[in-house]
Amino acid sequence: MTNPNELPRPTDAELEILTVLWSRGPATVRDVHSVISRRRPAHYTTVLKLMQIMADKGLVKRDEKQRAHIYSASRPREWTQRQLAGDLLERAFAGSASSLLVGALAARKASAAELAELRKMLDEYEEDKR
Amino acid sequence: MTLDYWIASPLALALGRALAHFLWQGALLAAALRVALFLGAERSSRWRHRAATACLLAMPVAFGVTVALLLAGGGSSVASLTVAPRMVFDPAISQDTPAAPVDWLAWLAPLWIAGVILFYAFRLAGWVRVDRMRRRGVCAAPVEWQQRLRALAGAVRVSQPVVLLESCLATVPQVIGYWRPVILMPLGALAGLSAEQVEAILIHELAHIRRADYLVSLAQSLIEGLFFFHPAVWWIGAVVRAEREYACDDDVIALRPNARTYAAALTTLEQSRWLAIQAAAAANGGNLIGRVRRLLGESAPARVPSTRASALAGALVLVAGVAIVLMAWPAARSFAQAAPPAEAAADKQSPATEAEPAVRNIEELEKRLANKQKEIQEAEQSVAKAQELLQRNSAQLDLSMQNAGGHTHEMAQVEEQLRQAEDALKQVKGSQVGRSQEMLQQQERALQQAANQVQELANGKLDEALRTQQQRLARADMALHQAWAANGEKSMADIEKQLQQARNQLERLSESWSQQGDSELAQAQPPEAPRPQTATESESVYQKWLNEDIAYIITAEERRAFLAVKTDADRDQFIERFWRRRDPAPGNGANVFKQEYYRRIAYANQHFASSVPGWKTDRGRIYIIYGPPDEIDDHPNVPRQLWRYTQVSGLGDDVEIEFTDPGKTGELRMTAPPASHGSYWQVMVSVSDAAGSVARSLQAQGFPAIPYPVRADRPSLTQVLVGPYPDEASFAKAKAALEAAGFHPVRAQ
Repeated sequence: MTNPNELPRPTDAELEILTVLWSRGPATVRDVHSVISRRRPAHYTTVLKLMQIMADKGLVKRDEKQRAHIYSASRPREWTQRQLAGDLLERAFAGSASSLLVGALAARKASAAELAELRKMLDEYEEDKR
Repeated sequence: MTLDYWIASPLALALGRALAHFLWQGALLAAALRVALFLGAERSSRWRHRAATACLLAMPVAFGVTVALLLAGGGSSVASLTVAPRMVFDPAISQDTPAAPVDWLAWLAPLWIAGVILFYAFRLAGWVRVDRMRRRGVCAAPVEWQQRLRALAGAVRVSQPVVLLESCLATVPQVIGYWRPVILMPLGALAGLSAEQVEAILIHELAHIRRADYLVSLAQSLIEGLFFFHPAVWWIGAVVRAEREYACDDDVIALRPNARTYAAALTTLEQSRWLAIQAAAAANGGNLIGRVRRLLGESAPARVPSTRASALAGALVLVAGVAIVLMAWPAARSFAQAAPPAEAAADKQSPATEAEPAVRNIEELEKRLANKQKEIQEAEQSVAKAQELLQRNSAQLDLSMQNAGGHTHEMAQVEEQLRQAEDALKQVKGSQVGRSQEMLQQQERALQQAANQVQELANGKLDEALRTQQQRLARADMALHQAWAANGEKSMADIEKQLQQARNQLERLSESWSQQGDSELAQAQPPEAPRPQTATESESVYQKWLNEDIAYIITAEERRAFLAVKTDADRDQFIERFWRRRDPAPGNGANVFKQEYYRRIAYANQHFASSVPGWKTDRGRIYIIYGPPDEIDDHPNVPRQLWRYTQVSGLGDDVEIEFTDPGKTGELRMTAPPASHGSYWQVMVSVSDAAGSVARSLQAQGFPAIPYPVRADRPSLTQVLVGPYPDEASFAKAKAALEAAGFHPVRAQ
């Protein structure tokens, strides 16, 4: 097994394949290709080649028990996210990017205490309803 | 240096002042929004969001209008804007008191621009990063969710096609883009939430798209970057963000009334994000608690936490205070300095205030004196600059004189004028000290004008015009030359006319040039130093040309023709043609003959000068007429020099000319006829005719001729040697020819 510290940072194309694997779970090259090609045109052989390289790098694991090889991400999403977030540039501009964030949640994370309070509020609401 | 210039510009000052004004304008807008939010506490979040956005948008508008007013109105609008806050503190101050110029405020402008650029650079990098999230680490969401999204988009009335993607980089659901919007769901959110909850989140994001919140957020970023220094902007920005989320939450509840499910979905998302990246826990979270409390129908949350509200209020009061001080201080200072003594005396009758007018008068005088000294300094600087220009000008003139020897008279004239202007400027500068201030002012003004004019002279426009004219003239002259050759008298007359026109034009230009110089001198020069007449100057210039420059090569006919010419324009024309006739390749670039001729003069002056200029010496004369010898036998101790020419046109082959110094005068002289194989005829030349011109004339008639001094001690009395003739027959024939031409040849010894 590869040393986690030595696992290379995935390229953008590799990250896309990892995203599919994290989203859909272990999948064949054909499955991955069908998901990718829904967003952008992609050749099956390109995806196959990429995934073979990723297996060599240790980014994905290959299960060769069945006729169609089944791939899965070797690291959980959170691990890779932390790896990517460690990038200096990412950190430098994360704050600036967050001010442009438009979405359901604020850019700033809630603290543990706040999360606990949120949970409590939801529970109390539930009890009130009853 | 450029920054200094820019600082002095009206724009910099207007920007600086507008920035100072914005301190209170921003505070005022924030206060207005606070009041509006307080009054509209029961209003919808949509209304409150609009109010906050309007306030935010009003900021650049207020700033822009202020800048425009300051730029357009200048003093008056500044005064009116400045007086308003000042009145609060001192109603006694009259509105008519003009605000003193606040130059240091202009320095705010570059600082502000630097800050804005920095902010924008970061925001741009952030935007690039966000936009990259559209493509990086994403995959298409499952088909069933795409279909659900299309149905929901219809319900929320979003018309543009929306793409739903799962992202491994996004930690929270978010919208990117407006025209081609993308909804990013964090990986696992679609699987980890119930279908109902996912729908609620999607409605929230679709509401953002319909309300164009991404665009608003970009605009907000720009405005925040523009007024980064003002807390009011950040506070209003926070209000906009908060109310934006409330408004979208309201849209969700309108479509999916189960608030608890939605609140739970938000909480779950927040929790999963918290788990996703184990970063240090933020000290205070976003506004999620407030939102959930609001969704669950608890008491309306305090829109702004009280501690933050008081801090904000403090900051705003501080900013407004600074603004008022900035506005009022220069005005108060100017009031203290410039208020008329009578007003001050009327205020109070204490001895201190009575003394004030006198003090002020002294201050005023000191200030004036300082200004005056500064003006003198500036004038001196401009004089120095003018002198520099003059020097450069004369250097240029020197250069062009070498290049265009035929126009030495013009150049010399202008050079002389410039030199005189320089002298005059020096005199004026010298006489400045010790005169009265009024005199100084007058002198300075004159100097300034003179400097300006000298500058104009130096700007080369006239030079260029002259050059153009000269070129035209040269062309016309060439045409004339050709026409002459063709003997086409009619066309020649036309060309002559054309030439005359060009010449007149040139004359006018020269006139305007010299007039400019004259007026400049008239202004710069003290009246007691009269300037030499231009006419004599130009006369001497032509005289010099005739008797010095081309004395050795002009023919007798040409000389007579030149002396018959009356106007300077015609003389110029003559000189131009004189050179044109000798140009080996007319119209083909520079006149090689002329260049070589002036080079020889320069060489002679440099190498043969003794008590007389080099060109006047025997060696100089021979050098100028026949060029460098092919060989020189130099015996400096005797002293004796023997020059050998293998071939001299018009003189013969293997000519040897001996120069010695029998009288020990320190100057080598031609003491014997050039040694050659044959005999010479001597032709005496009257003093008024230059030997060179006679020699040339003889050469033109086919005689081998060379100018030759009669006596070593009287170089002005010259003769011309004609020869050598190798045999008696040709010698006798030459004598007959010379006599027929009106000379009286004598056999040379």
